[in-house]
Amino acid sequence: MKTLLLLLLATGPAAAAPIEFVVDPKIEALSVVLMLSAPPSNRRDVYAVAARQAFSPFAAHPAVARVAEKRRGGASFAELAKLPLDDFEKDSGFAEFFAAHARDYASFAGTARREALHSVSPEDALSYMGAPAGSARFILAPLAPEDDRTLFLRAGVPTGDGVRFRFDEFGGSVAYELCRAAADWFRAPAGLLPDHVAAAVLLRVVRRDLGERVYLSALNRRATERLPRLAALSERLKEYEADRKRYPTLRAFSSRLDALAPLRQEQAVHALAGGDRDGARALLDEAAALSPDAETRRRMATLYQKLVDDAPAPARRDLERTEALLSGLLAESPRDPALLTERAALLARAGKNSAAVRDLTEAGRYAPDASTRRRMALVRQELKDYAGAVAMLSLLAKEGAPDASLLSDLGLCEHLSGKPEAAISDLRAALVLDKGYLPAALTLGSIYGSLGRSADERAVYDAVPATGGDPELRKLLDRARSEARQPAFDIAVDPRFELIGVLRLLAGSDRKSPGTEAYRERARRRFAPYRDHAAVKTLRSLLARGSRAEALATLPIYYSPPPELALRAKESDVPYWDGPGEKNERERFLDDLRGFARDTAFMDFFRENQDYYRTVEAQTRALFGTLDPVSALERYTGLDLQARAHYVLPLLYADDHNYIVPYPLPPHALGAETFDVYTMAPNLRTKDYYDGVWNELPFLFTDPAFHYFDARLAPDPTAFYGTDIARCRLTAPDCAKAAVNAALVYRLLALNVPSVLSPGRTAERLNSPLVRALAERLGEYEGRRDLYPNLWDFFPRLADVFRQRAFPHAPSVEAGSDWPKVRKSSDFFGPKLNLDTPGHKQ
Amino acid sequence: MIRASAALAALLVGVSAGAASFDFSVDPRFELLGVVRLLAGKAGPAKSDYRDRVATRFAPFREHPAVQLYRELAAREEGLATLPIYYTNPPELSLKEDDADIHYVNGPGEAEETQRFLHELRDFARVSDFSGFFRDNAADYAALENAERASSRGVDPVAAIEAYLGLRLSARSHYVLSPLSAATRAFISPYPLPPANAGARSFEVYSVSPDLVAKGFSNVLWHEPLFVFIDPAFYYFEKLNIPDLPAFYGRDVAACRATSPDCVKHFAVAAILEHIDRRAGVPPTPDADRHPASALERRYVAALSSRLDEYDAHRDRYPTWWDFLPRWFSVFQELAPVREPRKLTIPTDPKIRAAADFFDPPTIAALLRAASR
Repeated sequence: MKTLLLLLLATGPAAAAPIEFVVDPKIEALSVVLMLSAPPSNRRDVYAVAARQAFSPFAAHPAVARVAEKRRGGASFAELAKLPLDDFEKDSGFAEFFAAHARDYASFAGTARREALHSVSPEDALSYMGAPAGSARFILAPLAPEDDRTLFLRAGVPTGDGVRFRFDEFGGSVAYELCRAAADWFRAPAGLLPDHVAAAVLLRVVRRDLGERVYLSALNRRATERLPRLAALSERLKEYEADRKRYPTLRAFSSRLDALAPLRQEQAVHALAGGDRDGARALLDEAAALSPDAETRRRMATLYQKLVDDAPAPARRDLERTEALLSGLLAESPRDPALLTERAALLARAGKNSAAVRDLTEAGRYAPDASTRRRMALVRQELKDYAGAVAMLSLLAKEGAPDASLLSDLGLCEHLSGKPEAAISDLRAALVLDKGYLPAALTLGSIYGSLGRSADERAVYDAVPATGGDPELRKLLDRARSEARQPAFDIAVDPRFELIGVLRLLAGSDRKSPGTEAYRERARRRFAPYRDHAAVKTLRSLLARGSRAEALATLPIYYSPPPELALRAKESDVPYWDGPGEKNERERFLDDLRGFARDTAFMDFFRENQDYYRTVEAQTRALFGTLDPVSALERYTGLDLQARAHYVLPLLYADDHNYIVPYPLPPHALGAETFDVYTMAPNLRTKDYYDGVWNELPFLFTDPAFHYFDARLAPDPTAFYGTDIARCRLTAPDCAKAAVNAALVYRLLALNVPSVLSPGRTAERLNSPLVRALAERLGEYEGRRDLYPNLWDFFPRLADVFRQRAFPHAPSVEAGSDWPKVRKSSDFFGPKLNLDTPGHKQ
Repeated sequence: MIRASAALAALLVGVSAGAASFDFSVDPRFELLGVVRLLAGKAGPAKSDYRDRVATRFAPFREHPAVQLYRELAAREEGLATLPIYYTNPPELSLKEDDADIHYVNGPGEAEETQRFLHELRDFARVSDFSGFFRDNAADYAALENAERASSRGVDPVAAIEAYLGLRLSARSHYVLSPLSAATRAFISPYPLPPANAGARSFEVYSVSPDLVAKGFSNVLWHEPLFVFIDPAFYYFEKLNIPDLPAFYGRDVAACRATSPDCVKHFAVAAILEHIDRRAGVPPTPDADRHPASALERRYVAALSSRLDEYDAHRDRYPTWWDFLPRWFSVFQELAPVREPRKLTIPTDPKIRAAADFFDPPTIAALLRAASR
């Protein structure tokens, strides 16, 4: 789906002729750079795909890092547009790309011109304002990230002609933007007013042409909710319309707009939102001088209250003004529980706790409504009366259908009153109601964090939708997420494997090499003088013996980078090459390798090719998108896997072995605290999703789970799994595990875990009746996570699938009350848990 | 094709000219819309000299924004088709009444889009000198109007309907000949469906068609004006007598009504039209030009029409169709069938004498009071 960004370049009022829509090369270059620094999007339109293909090799260009840094610093799109990107344009051949897509740009401009017809006439809007003639230019930025769109077309319904676009109703139209741009001309006060005026002008134009009923209907629709004073302003414009002789232009009328106290108050809201506290105070003073009505004074008091609440040490002046306003209102309505509660809040903030409690008690006598009681509870929280706050919020939750914010407040107060389990329960309920409710997510995550439940903490943050919510809270969430989780995987070209690759190249065993021909040629030229080196000969002889293939493939992961190639952990149990006599052979080969690395200055070669390696890594990383496989599996299993996944990209030979260190198969690895999962991924693009990403990871769970399950509930495999599976397990120990792994991956994909590649061959492999039955049983787990906090808790039910298929009339297998608790991988290998103790219940 | 029978038409003009409650005309507002529609390439009328003249005359404006916008508003064509009735003639196209009851503009962005369309339509009319074109064709339009009047046999549709119902419609019916349109469309302003438009005293009925009488009086002349009374009468009769619609109408009709709120009304209108045709002495609508009816509809229309024979025979007992409604609605109970039929009534007070009575605030209050009892 295409998205178009429109940046209005008009700085003053502008008549509609001519209004231009163009694609600007400088803005487009910036969009490309932003695209490269952002996670891959789901966009599949031809232009976006072409751009990604053309520029992805430049993902590591310095300009990308430069822009990304500015962006992290909060720079707006307009500010970024001022950055010079000449180096990127030159290095990437951007000018040629831009020239080659001229027809696309003409098509985008045509679309924009056509879709601009779908909103109020700019001529009529400007004529209404009496604005002088000018011109306007809108820049289309087809690749700009959505977050940066200042004015945008919303996607319409796909049609036979492609995807149609329409301007957002009301806001976001050409007329609306031109009216906003005219704010300086008609001397609109700064802040919110231009938005209000633009909307009001459009409404009045609609009123003139479609009548009062349509005007009132438009005024009350949802899109105008963000402009709370729109009705007052629109009504005031009737005065302007009625006396155009006196007010030939809206500029002449602007003083009448200024005089609205409610508008001043709204401007103060805007000023405060922009961090201009002094400006907000000045505007509130002006509003006070304009004889505000009671409703406006209430809003003003709320605003003063916010000035007080937001300050680390509230200014005495703010406290006094707020109290004066509230006391004045209370003199008029002494039995208003909402006002009493607001004054209590103010008094609590000023440290006058006794007076605050008095006001709260008084408020309780006058039948406060639900929203006031909610506020009263929060004041009690401010007064550190957490039990009182919990009591009030619990009652409110029982009285009606609670919303996410009520449950979130309740959860926070429960946490503060020392009831973490109740807090977790209510906060989780809040997130069920609104998974994007950031306060609940932040509170719940921090409670999990404080309890050491890092997998749960990460799961909470990861479940929050990617956009929406208060920007400040979102920043907090992003920070909490980054602190809670370092990506649990890496993708790298590894010198140890490249060293083996060079040897294989020289030994003539580099079939299906995934690196470019240019890279292979560089390696050939560089190492040709060493084709008869002892290491090459040794490797050739090892390769001639097929039994050494797996050993050779996994050997490098146990050693440091060349040329040292020292054993990284003395107690390492190097598999496949540790038997009698084998160890000496291994050491001889390693000596040859070290010699080769030193003799050829291999690491110099490795350093010289860094740019190429970074490009390959970036391309592979781009395939992963937002996927963090370890986290995805942790979220699904509900277990902290304590693992890091390493995707190694050997570029000079094709090898797709995988291994876990230490291997998580009890009784091996007892005492292990962390696990490293290595996947040789010579070229993920040519492999399917299942093999490339998921082949090894699920064994982190299934290996120990099957081991302990069998020990407790299936001591006689034939009696439990039936003859077929038991026989299969004898010849291939991973037989049953592979089926469970496949079902796990099947469910992960079904639950929209970000996809690296099309499932492809995986779909066929997952299509066996056994895997389908296991996947179906996993659906039960997903639906009852209240009963099964993690997949180990559910494992007996899952294994029951094997049992029922072998023995349809056998009773179901279930975990007994003594089923051991496991929260993280190391629990399977810890000395305290005696998981081998039989205690099954059938 | 413009049909002209000027001599006969001239004779008949006087017959209907005196009737103040209806008119036949080629209307520049609808004709302007027809030109834009034709340029937008929408399925148009049969080929004719007139259509060719329009196509040639306005070809230079084929890419005008009004045409582009119309082309994209296929889904809203019904709304656009009714738009002209609220505006003065082109090129001004000014809103005639500030309190206009414009429909089809309350969806997201529709009001803004409609405003833009009006702006572009005005511009189209100006730059293409549409008014000049309309003047140039005035003689043809007059001939067409006269031919249609002749075909209508001097019948005053509003008077004929009022006579049959025994009630005043409080309406003026405008029959717009639109040689550039492909289909018949109709609308009433303000729309007479309570509880909206309380206080309305009269209604303007527009029936726009390429040919008003060729396919039977029922299809155009009678059809829309009848709803001026049917809509409010059904609304209040159901309020007065039917608290549980599915229980009253039975499963099939209730399901039809749930899908299309006008379902029952269409059965009623079809039955009444047969009787008005008969009473006015006009030929019945040929079967080929009747809209296809379901078995359910045929069954109910036949029963309702048969029950109207009783109304026709006993106008002494039923001075107005409103008075006959309890008896007529009992058809639904009989066909449903309902185990314990409700006793259906209308209040003796207030008296309903005209469609506008349903929109008179004291009458509304009295009807609602009666309904609440």
